[in-house]
Amino acid sequence: MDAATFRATFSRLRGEIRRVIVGHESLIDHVLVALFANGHVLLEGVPGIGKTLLVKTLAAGLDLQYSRIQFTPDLMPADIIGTNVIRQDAGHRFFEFQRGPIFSQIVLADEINRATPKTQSALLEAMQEGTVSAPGGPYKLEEPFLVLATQNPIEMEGTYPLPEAQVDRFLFKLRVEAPTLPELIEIMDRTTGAQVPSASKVADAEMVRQMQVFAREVPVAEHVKTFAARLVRATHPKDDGSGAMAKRYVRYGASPRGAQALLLAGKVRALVEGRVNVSVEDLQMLALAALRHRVILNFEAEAEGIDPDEVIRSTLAEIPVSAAASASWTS
Amino acid sequence: MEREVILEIVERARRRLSGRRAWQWTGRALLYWAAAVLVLVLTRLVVPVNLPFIVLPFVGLAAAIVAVAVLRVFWRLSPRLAAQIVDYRFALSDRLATSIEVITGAHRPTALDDALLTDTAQVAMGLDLRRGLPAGPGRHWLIALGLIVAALVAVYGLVGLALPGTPAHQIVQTIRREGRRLERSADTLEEQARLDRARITRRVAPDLRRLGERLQRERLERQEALARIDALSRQIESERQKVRDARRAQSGERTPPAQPQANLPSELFKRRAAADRTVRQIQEITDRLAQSKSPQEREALMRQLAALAAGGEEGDVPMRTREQAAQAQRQLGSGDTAGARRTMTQSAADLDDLRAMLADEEGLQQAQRDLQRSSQNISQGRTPTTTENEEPPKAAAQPGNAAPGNRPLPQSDQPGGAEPPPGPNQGTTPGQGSVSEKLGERTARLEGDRQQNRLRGVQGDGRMTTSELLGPGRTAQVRVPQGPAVAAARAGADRYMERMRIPPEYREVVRRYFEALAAQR
Repeated sequence: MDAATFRATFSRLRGEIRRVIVGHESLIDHVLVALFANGHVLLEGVPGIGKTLLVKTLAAGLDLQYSRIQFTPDLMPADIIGTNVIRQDAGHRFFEFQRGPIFSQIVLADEINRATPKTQSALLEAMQEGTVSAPGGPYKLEEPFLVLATQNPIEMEGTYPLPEAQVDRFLFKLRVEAPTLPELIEIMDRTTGAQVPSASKVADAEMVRQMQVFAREVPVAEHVKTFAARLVRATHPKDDGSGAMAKRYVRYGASPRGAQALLLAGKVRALVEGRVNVSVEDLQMLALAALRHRVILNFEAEAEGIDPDEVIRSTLAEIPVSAAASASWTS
Repeated sequence: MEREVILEIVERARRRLSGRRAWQWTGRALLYWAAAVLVLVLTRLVVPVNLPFIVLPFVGLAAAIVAVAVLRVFWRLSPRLAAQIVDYRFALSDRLATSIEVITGAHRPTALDDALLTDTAQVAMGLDLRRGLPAGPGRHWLIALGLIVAALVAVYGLVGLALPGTPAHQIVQTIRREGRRLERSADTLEEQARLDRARITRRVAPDLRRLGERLQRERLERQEALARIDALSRQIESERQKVRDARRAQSGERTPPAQPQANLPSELFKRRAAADRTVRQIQEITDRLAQSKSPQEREALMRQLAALAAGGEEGDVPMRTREQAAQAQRQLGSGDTAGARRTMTQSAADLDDLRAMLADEEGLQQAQRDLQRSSQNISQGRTPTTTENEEPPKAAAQPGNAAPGNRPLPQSDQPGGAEPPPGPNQGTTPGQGSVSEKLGERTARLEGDRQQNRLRGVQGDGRMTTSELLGPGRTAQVRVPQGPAVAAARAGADRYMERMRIPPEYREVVRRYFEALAAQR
């Protein structure tokens, strides 16, 4: 594996997905970055804008096992991770663990906020550790393992907002926007004809695993790490370096997982951009996706309709990129 | 290969950035310095500030240049920061900074290190550091130099200017007033020198007048004014020293008398008075030597010459005169009346020269005192006293014109208690010298705050009241009726004339003077 192969594979995969998905370039890039950074993605958007199709296309582009779990209020944890069933063989009865849909490599957790917290938490171990604890287990999930969860931001009745601990396990939270007029026309063209485009296989599981390992080798300069750490610290309202918006509107700032997510995703993005080092721009570009679900706003922010993105943007603007960017050197 | 390329680029960037930093730091410091100097220069319009303003900008400039040189030699930016700055300025996406950390071993080695260095070297080779990293003086230097020029222009352009009603304006006014005062003092001194035949003083008086005119006419800072006063004062001191040496040689003094400076004016005055008296005695003796023929008269002359040779009644006859008197006595004793007369004529001439020297010394000292007072007033920013502000009439300075009752009255309401203008009411030598000269230095008792003296009325009409407060005042005014004062002065003058054998025609002049004063009352 080398940087050129990585980039080429990434580009081909992106191209395959774009053959099916119209628009959403940034969304596709972020999902792929999360895939090669070995992180999970929470997709938030109104119904019917291609969230599920994106995940299915991604699975089609990779030679990976794919399963979809439609989260409903009556969904039980066993429906996800599996359960013991009684088997009869040659007159003997015994329990056998029947694997649930979590035992896949790409899992679409559709409308994850419709399930109860108990069921949602069934994903916790799988997402963080890559294992499932069940009778006869634990069972290790096959790598690569990617959870893509979707949630609807408008139908909040009868939903269970994800607990902070679970949200924190997602590498990115991505907002899926409605298509623009040209995109909508293109969607109509593509989906109402005789030929419906589909994605070809670009990489298999082994290739994805290699790319994930390769991405972690990308070196990061000290001041870039410092920037990531400062950015995460600055989302904490009680931190000395936090900005005015963070102090006023944030209840809890981002966890250390936020910094890890920034750096890992930054490494992948650097390779995609044709570099073999992480730059501050990579972190700036990924900050919203990596931190917006980790910044918990207070009541005042909700009352004033403040979005976490605004807080993060404000914080980004206030943090010095490095000593080199100070006014004395740039003047 | 890639490592060398990267290190060479970073080193070049370090040099340029270190130089740039040195210029920036010193430029900023120079900017603050120049701004402070400019503010100080402008502050002079309000408050008198005594600083070498011409030198200050150049001192700052020189210090900044030295600091640039020192910083460029002894200070270098760290390679990491230099690499970060190059990354930022050339949009290298932190390639160079990451590469430097890889090269210096700050990172755990990874499989991508070589790829990174190759990538960075390729990108960095085309960099034009001269364009992206200017190393020369920045805008701070330009602004600072502009401020320095402005400060220098202000230093020259605002000399002697001040905003009205400010302490600086008061200083300017004080300098001009002192100029007027010195000009008047020069007039008085010149007139006095002419009367006393004080040759050196007459020569110095124009210098004093020119100084006074310059203080009034030119825009001068306090320091400049004080320097000019000091220069003239030193010149006068030199002249006075010469006169004093010549006078000592003339009077036959072996060693200079150790006398405190404070007593000098009264001592000089006494000596001059003694010289006057002795000259009159010698003239009387010389006249009698020409007329006396009888042995009794010669005997009386011999006694008078013996008294002179012994030092006179008050022992204040100069040594040389004593010797000449003794010689004349011997000549008279041997019957050489003509020789004795020549000796005494010579003695009178010598004594007259001595008197002129004393007058010179006294005049020069007076000029020094005037300069000293001006210097004090200017350095303290003191408002001059009423009489210092007043222009004394020329007539009052001339004893011959100072007829009783014709003395103009000061009309100013300004506070002050300086000596009155020269006139016929100044003691034993009417019309000559000022009161302060004759009183000598003020004693400690007289060092108190002065009170306002106001003389009211119209010339020749109504009652004239004079008052003078001696000592710490502010309690009440002391008024002395003029009549008793005149009577007392007249009685004192009579007693003095009886004792000192004043020629009858002179006595008559003095009596007429006091009678005129009484008539005025």
